Amino acid sequence: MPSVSMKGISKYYGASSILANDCADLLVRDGEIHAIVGENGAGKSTLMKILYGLERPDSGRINLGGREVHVRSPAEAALLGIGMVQQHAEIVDEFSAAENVVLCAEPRRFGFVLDRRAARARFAGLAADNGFSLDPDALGSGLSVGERQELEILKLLYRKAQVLVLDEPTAVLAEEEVFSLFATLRRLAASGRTIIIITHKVREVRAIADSVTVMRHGKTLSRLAAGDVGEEELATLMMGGQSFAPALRTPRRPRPEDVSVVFEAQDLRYVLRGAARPAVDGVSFSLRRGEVLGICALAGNGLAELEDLATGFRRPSSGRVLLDGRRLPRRRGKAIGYVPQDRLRRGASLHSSVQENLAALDRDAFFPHGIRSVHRMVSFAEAAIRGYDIAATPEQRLGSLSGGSIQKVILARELNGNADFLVFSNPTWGLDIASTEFVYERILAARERGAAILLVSSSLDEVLALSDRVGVMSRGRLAGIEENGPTLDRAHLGKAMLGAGHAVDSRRAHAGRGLAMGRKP
Amino acid sequence: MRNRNRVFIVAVAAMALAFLFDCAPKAKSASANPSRVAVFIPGVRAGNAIYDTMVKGAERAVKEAGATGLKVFEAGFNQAEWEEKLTSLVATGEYDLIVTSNPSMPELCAKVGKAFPKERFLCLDGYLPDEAQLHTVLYNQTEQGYVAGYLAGLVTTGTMKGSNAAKKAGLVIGQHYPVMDKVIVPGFEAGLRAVDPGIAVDERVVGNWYDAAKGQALAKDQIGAGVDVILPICGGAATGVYKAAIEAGAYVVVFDADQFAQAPGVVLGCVILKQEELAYSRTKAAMEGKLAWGKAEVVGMADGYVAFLDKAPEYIAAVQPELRAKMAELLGRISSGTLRLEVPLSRF
Amino acid sequence: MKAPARAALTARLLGFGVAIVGAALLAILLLWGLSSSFSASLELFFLGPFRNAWYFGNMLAEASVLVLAGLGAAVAFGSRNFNLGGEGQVYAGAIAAAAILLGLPTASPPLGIGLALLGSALAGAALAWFSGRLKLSLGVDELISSFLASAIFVYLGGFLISGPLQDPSSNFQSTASIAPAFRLARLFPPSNLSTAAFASLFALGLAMFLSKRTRLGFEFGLVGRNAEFARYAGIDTGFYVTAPMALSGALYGLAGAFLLLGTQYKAMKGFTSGIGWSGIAVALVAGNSPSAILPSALLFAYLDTGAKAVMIGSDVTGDIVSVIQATVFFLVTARAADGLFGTRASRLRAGGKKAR
Repeated sequence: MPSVSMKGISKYYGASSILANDCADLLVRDGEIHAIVGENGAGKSTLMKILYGLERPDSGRINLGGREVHVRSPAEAALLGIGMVQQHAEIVDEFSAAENVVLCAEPRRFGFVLDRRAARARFAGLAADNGFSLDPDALGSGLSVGERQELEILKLLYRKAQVLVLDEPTAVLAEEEVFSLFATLRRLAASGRTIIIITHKVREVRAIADSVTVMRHGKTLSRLAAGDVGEEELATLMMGGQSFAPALRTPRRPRPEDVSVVFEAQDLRYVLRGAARPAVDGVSFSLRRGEVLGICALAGNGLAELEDLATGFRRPSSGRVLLDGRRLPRRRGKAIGYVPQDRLRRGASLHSSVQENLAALDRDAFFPHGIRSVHRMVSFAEAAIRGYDIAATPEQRLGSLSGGSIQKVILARELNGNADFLVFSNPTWGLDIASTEFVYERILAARERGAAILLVSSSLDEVLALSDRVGVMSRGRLAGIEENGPTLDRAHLGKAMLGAGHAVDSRRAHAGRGLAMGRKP
Repeated sequence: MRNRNRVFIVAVAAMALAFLFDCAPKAKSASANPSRVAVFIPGVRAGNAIYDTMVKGAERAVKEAGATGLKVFEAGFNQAEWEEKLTSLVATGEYDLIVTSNPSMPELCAKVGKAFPKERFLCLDGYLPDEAQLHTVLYNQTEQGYVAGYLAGLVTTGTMKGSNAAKKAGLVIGQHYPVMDKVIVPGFEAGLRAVDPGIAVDERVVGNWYDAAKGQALAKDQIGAGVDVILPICGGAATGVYKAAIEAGAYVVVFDADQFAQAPGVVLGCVILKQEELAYSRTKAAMEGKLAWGKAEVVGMADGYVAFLDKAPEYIAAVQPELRAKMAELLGRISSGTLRLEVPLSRF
Repeated sequence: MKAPARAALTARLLGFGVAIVGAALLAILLLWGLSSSFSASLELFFLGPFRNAWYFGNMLAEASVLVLAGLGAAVAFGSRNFNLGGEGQVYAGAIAAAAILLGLPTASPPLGIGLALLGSALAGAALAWFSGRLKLSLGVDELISSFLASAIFVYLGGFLISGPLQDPSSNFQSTASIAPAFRLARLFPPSNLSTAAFASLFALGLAMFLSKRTRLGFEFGLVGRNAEFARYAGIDTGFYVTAPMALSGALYGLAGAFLLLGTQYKAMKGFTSGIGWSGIAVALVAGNSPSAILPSALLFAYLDTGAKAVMIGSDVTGDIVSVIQATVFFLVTARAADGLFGTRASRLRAGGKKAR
């Protein structure tokens, strides 16, 4: 059985002068689920890329099952039984699930023709043995994020991986999908596989891991048994002294002058061409000045479509979206501040400079009479860099910034116009604790000045921490909006997210999600 | 951006410097008679007898004069590039006589010559008088067309194995151009009518000078329409016409060069231009200082530069004696001057 | 210029330096293998363009047309519109200009030339705009449609030249020559360099100003780098499909008009000889940046002129010179195309994903 031991691993990136790993040690026993935790940039991913052969260490040794190994490439790693699921699933959209799994190691007829029947049979066997319920014929393009991840795991199992590394597997998953993933990991560990997951979510460590290694600034600090360590203590270790726990903010009672309605959704319905059922189905709500309405849903339940409808990115099939009593303009102006979930593609121009990204929205101001005002552009960029504490220069290419800095640039741009209506979609997704705190502060500051804020998020923690009112969506329907407060509890919301009649346990939740995706389990 | 601009300025400065140095006066051979000769081929040499024989003739003249080698330059099929390429050739300053051949070349040579007053051009197969730097020699293609037409007329009205009842002769040309439309085709038609005024001409245009497949398709179509003898004047596309004629048992009369070997028994006669001899004699004259610049001459059967190959064994074998007798009678009338066939120069 | 930007630029220049040196070495190797007079050929290839006024002037004349064609390609590529129809658009522009000037032989030169330029720009623009429109309303890939529309027009143009517009007194398949009053002054006789070069420089300056200093250029760049972001920022992305296509076609059309007014004086069958394609190569090497178009066009004109000098001055035949030229162009542009078409591939992938 494979145990993994890494000793004295160092890795220096000359180009960016970053010491990513500094004499890091790792010990994972066979059949164990081990978590590596740390803030963004602590060196977790680098350490695992070294184990998987994607990076070569400058120094250090790796032992697998007590034998020293040299992993020079992912192909060698696969031969040694090491497999890794990257943050972004590598799935061919045009291939079926079964074809994706056997890709590059296909069962063949006559030596060269893909044997589809054998591929399906192997897929079915593998899925049944490990408790997956994926449809072998589903196209890659039709899979949900959670299903794509399951497919990635199946690919590794097909290649007989004994050590499975998962890089931030829960970052893209909704609450219920996380339960399902954890159940899968437990089954795999029970069947003798060794599992390493990278995360920066303290709560998850206690939920899934047997043991945990904490990393900070490229160093491994300590190896602990997960049961022996509290969430607070782990957070302290990761942050280096400061303690942090997401605070539940008191909901704000609306002041009398704030009661005017800013934004209104009236019976919204949205049907994607060719879809069997509407992605958004009869959703109505209104937003007043100075409040945060949080809407939470599992992936695939219409949250992304609602985000697009509320910002005018898509037009509803029926129903109306009103801003200050009028329909949304065809093109977004600065009356709507919008921080999108897909911040790298939609929210930012990675190949443009920081100042160009900042100037992209309020072009009237930066191009008086259609001619660029260099002075206004630079001074606004410098002000934003100071005010939002962004580690960059105005001319720097945005794509060279860290995820947290990019989000700050987006915030600086979208909050600059003091728009009365703001939409935030998963605004802290993938950010470290300090950046998350910063984003929360900004959202609450906007609420203070009287903006109407729509927060859509797949993190229940986030919605509960920020919202004055909370709604959940399930299968495109918005299930009742309630005041945030002590009477609201997670179990209650979880039930609502699955729709009536489903209890919150992992097995049923999985079935519920299958239905929600509109396909056979 | 600033860096890129700087690189660019340095590059421009370097080019300008290099240019200035190169402009320094150079010693040039100042002989009165042209001795450095280049042949400019408006097309390619391979597969084109007219250009190939021009090179051979010029080569012989240059060799005899003891001059250093002959430059042969092929300009390719894109007509639009000829002027620039001809200018480039002249602009090297290494050649003082350009020999070329093609009805369109005098016009180009005259234009290019304006910028290079010392350059001389010998243009065969073209006609442009009163250009001081040019000497042009036009073949009497009225005679050439007439002779070809006369033979074709005899065949289509005759009783040869491949002849049919319809009095129809075919003509496949590469493209329309003034010499074709005003000299060759009228000559051909006049020859046909001299045999029988009722003979019809089926004329087809390939659109270029190389598409053999299209040449074959056009000829096939003509044969289907009752044509039994074809005159192809379409460069490389003629090989397609030969093929079609061989397949259908029809006949071909050939222009410009001896092409009996292409299809013995099918090629009945060749009305050739003695391009090699003309290129040789006029190049030699130019190098000896005996060529009159600014003059345009017309040469024909009487001068021996247009000829019907009546001694060729393939002709004798393929054509019935009574037809050959009629041909001989015609050739006699032309060379004796009884039948005068003039090129309509005024219509150029 | 700040450090990271400078580092990126240095890396880019270094990359091109390596590609160009590699291409030069390859050209030397080919000449060595294929020419019997190696040193003479080598000298002609590298110094031929500077040999005399004719070659030097022609190099500049070619560069001035390539600047327009290169801008035409860059305008389209820079906004992620793939206009591959340059060849047909150059042809359309030249034929339109020729038709106008032959139809108005006695117009005053400023009026005639003005109308010819306008007509050529409109002709090129209409051809390209059509592909942009098809992309917007029917989702037809503009890369294919512009290429096909152009290929059709090349034949149509050939028909117009050798049919209705054919000069009956010419031995060429060509229109008649435009009246001498319309011909642009030659700057450097006997070479083809004419005052058309100033028009190219003006267009270049205008393009640089538009792209760097105006809202239009800014929005254009945002759409080109990330269309979804541009839409998110409230930019009318539909406008930036049809407008750059039309502008690109207009520039190609103008390239054809200036070729006619400055160099050829008549439209002949096949007389564009690949300018549309060379324009694409120029834009790729320039990374679609207007400020880099001029050096890039000069580089291509230099390579082309050197190759022609070898063809004329040595025993190396035209075919072999074409091979050398193509190899060099390939090496230089492959390096540039890498980035552009990489992005296109990922765009297509992203499009596929979005469609689910």
